Amino acid sequence: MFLKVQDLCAGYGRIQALHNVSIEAEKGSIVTLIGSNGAGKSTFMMCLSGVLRPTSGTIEFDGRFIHGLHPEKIVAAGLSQCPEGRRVWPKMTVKENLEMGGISVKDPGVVSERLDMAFSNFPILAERRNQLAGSLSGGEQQMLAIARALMSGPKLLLLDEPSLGLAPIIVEKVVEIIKKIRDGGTTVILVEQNAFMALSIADYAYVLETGHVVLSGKGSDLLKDDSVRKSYLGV
Amino acid sequence: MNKTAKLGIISAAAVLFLILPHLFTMDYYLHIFVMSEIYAVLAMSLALIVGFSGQVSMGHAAFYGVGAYVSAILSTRLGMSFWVNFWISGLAAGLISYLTGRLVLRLRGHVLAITTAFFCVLVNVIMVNWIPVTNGPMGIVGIPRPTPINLFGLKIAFETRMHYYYLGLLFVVASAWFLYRITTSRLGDNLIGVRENEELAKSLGIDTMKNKVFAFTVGGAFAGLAGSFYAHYILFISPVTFTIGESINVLVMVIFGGMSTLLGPVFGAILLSILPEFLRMAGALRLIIYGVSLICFIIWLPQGVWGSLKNWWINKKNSDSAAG
Ligand SMILES: Nc1ncnc2c1ncn2[C@@H]1O[C@H](COP(=O)(O)OP(=O)(O)O)[C@@H](O)[C@H]1O
Ligand SMILES: [Mg+2]
Repeated sequence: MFLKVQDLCAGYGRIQALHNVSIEAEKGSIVTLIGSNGAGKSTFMMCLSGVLRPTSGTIEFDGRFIHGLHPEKIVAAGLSQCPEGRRVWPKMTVKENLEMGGISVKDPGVVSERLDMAFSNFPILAERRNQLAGSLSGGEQQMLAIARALMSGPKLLLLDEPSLGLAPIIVEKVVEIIKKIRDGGTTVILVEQNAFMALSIADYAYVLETGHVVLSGKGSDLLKDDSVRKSYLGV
Repeated sequence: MNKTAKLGIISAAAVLFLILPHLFTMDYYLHIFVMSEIYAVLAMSLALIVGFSGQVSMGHAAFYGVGAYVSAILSTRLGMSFWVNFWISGLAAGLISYLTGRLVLRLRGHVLAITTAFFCVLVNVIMVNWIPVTNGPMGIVGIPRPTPINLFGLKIAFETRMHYYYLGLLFVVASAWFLYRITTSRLGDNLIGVRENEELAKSLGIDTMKNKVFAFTVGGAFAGLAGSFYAHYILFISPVTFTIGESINVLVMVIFGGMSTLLGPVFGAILLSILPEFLRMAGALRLIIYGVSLICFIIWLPQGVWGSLKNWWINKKNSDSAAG
């Protein structure tokens, strides 16, 4: 298995946010985690990227155990995170933000290649390359955050609520981009509160409630599941 | 600002600083100028740590002191020259600041500030009590001046403050250039990235600890260089110079001038070295006036004098171009 997380527990001080979470992802697939606010989705992502240290459990990625490694080692191993909340450095330019994403790449030639690639995949960013990131619209900032996460050339991309606060038409664009990334061979873990969007594009999905995985299945199956429809799709 | 205007301002400043000691020739003024130069380097190097990497350090005087003591001991015990001691002092202070940084920089916010303050106290206690090496509270006397140099046939013996002034000017300009290169490089971007959003920086694979330690080390090394210059200028050092009060003094210069720039701290260093001297006329009221004006500045110009000027200029330019 390309990504195999087993019995992951994590928390903040005395608060335990994840309870024995186990998920798997096949290479080249989109796997999604849905759940309401506070379910522990972001905590899970932070553990994968090494920003937060899990208290127990294992994370096996591409044949290697990565839990407990420093984030820079994990990025170098081919895992990249696009954190929640459209996080860009507002006072840096678009180009500088992208360059920050390529920090783990030693070869400057590769960085400029990827920069060109980012600009051709996201023409809007090319247009605004020397503009301050803070002056971009919400959708553009999200594109920038995704493009930046791709700068390290990841095998696995973590997207934490990329549709948050975006207009439906922009969400569609984001969906197209996620599919394109997957078609390029990068495995995607997608975390969403927008369950409909996530389940529609996911190959496999997990439902997280207060730190527990309560349900899992194919994206298309969960879309038809009664309890999911009631709790997360509002029908 | 266009290029010619910038060039004009830089040349005007260069001319001003070059002729300054000929306009104010009294020893008293020259001393203030030389001390401003030392503080300018201290403030710039602290700005790298506090302003650029975002780690509040109250321990800068410790590295300043390490530099001064290393130079004083090498010159009085081993008869070594300033020209060698200067670099050794920088290296020694850099090394100690590297080790300290590795230890304390996992802390943050006021815990870090307090820990660095304790470190400063600790170094001071060592200066006072390690008598065989530091000569304790008596300090070290008889530090020699820099050995004379021959500049295109012109012999400079560092017997007048004027000579120190020009050496100090070179020191400030070279330090500013070096630190400027760092802050505008990719490393500088990393520092700012870590300061603005550490979690995000981490998630992109930036080794945040390494960046902070780097800034702390370089900052400490420059403080050590400044300490060496100080020792070979005043020719006498004692622990009272390198207290936490001095750390705070430099920190105030940095905040006062504007901490996320390099020119700001220089500006703060010059102003706050001169201002207290002016206020001497006010006698006993001096410290009160000084304190109150600092508080006012920090309340109304939180980005510092220089930072506020810079923002005002940028806003003005933007509104001009929007209007035009
Ligand atoms: N930095 C933090 N400190 C303390 N508790 C936190 C922190 N971040 C999240 N939590 C708590 O952990 C739980 C899971 O949060 P989170 O992973 O952000 O959920 P989600 O991303 O699914 O909305 C919540 O109960 C939240 O309050
Ligand atoms: Mg979240």
